Amino acid sequence: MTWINFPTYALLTILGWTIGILMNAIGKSNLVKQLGIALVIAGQLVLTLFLLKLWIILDRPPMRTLGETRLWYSFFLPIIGLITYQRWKYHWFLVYSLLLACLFLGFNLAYPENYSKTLMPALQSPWFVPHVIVYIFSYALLAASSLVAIKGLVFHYFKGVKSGHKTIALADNLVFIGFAFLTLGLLFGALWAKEAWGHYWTWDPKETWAFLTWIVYLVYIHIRYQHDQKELWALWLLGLAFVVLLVCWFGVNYLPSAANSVHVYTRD
Amino acid sequence: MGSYYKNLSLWTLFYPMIQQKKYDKPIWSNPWGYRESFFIASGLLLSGFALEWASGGTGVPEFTNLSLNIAAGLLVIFIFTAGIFFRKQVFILWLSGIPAAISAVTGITFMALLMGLTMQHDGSAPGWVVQLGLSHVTSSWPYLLISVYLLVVLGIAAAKRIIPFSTKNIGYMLNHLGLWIVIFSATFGATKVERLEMKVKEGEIEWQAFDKKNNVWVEMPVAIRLNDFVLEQYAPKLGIVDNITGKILHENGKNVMLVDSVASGNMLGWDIRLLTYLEQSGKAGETYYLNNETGAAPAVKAEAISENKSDTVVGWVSCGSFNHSYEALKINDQLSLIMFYPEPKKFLSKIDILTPEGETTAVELEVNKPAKVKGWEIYQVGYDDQLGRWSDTSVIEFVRDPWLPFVYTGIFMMIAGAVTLFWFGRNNTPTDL
Repeated sequence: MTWINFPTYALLTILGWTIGILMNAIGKSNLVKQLGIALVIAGQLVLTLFLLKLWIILDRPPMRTLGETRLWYSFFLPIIGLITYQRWKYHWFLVYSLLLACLFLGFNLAYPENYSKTLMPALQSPWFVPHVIVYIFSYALLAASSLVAIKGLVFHYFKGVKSGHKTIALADNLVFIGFAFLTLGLLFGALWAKEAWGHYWTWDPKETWAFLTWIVYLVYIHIRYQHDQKELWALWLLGLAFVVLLVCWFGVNYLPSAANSVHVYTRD
Repeated sequence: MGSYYKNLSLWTLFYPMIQQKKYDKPIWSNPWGYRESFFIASGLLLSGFALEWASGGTGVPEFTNLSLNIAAGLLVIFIFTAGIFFRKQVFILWLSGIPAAISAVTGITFMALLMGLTMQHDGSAPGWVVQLGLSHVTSSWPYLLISVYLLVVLGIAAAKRIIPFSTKNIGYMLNHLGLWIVIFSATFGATKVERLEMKVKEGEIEWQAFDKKNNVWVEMPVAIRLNDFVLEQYAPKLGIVDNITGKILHENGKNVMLVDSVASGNMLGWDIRLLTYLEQSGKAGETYYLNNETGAAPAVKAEAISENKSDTVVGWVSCGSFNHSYEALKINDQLSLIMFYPEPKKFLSKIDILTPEGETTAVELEVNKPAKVKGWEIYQVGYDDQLGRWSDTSVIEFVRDPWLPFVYTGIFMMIAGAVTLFWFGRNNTPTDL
């Protein structure tokens, strides 16, 4: 059993995003550009509707499996893209975040997930929703900062252009907000762990990797404070940080050290 | 553009980064920078590994209460004296600076990375892994040394900014002092954490709990009477198994169906229809009937129809229980329909907490809902797995962590710090950086 009607909702969402962003990019008049953004928002609303429906049908927060977390990721990325676009006018950034969101929806389309209502007692807690939402929102922001870093690196090495302060400033803004949420997610997790398992930190493999992720972004922030000029270092570090984040999110499931982890997402 | 790609070797990739590292002072001459910091951090790690190896991989021995308190006290005194009175000293300036901080954090990261890649507390780990402390990183010497280094560096950096107090440093203080309090109390509090397990049967009173760490039974300050243990389950799931290999063909959960309101599904091309579902059943001859005796397992009468509609198989499937055997439905030579054990939805113990003073408190103990009494937290952890929902035994855990209030103080400071980080972003720079 897979998610009910997911392909319809996902395709409508992707359609809204694609046509919207094309209208916004190619449109000559302001009206067409605005209509494009409206279409992107319409696509977003379709996805929101699906998430709500899934939540109601499953009778539990749809945040347990990897596929479900990918849905939230696709949900938050366009929101961050739209806000960044409205506030700082980074058009390319909206395009990239929508592309990434489409990629994750596409992944869920290609590998449809099981519709499972079961939720183990340890996950039934008021902490479940804030912990996951804050984390995925932070992951989306940090992924966005890595996109910025990759752009900066590509421009530096392949086009021989200095990335310039504008690029790294955008990365900084995203990392600071993303790191704040990452910290909140980590601490909410600790407070929840105390309620559920009796201790706030047990060095479960997922916790170890969450700590590593947190530390790498922490180093980035300190390097930016102290060595404002060494932008190339910072861009490389941001790329590396995202690799660690991905190990924490997906990779842990495949590590032998995580065989006994309480955080390995069940795939049934 | 073409010639540009040709010249793109690894060297040109990293050259601009290396180029920036120009050293015009000999190493170990003041002021110390990254080279000295990284030498010290790796020196600490190497000494730690050497100590661990020499001790045969037994890890850091348990300190007595007195020596632990003295160590914690000395550390605090050193940090505050250094941070407040000797902050202008060139050595202290280095110890509270970013290069030392980065080296300490990198050292901790290295240890955490080792922990993240090797299975912890694994009995089958090879000898050299154990002797290097890699099977028990958090109680190993290198981890201890680098943690103390981090505590000193972070502590002095925070202490420096307490006096003179400035509102501009509030975000900085919340983040740094908060983190320091968390690491300090978690490190020194770790040895004081007590976790004891108690097994109690329905209708009985128990006051002894088992301390796994020290392998002793301990008399608790309160007694527990278990009035009732309740386990609620989800409906069972059906799946398909390969008759020859015995493997479950779930394909990442695609071929699993929950016996719920959904009356039919498709697994591996077979249409599965549920004809009858008995939550609890007994078996008579070839058929199942409703029954609520102890050990009565769920059963489903199902119909499997092949893709081209040529084959139809009807029969019963049951997961069985501790006193009923399971039953699979063979749908063809290769495949059989099976039922998984139902998953627990919720389990709770209705208990009375009895004090020596004669007070009785009725509590419903549930996962995620611990109870508190006399400095102890009481958790629902398990039951008799063999008996499942018919278990008359509840496993509960008593936890005491005297340093918890400090850890929570640090955590809440860090939460407030994260909010300032979000609010002010990069403009949140402390006064003297």
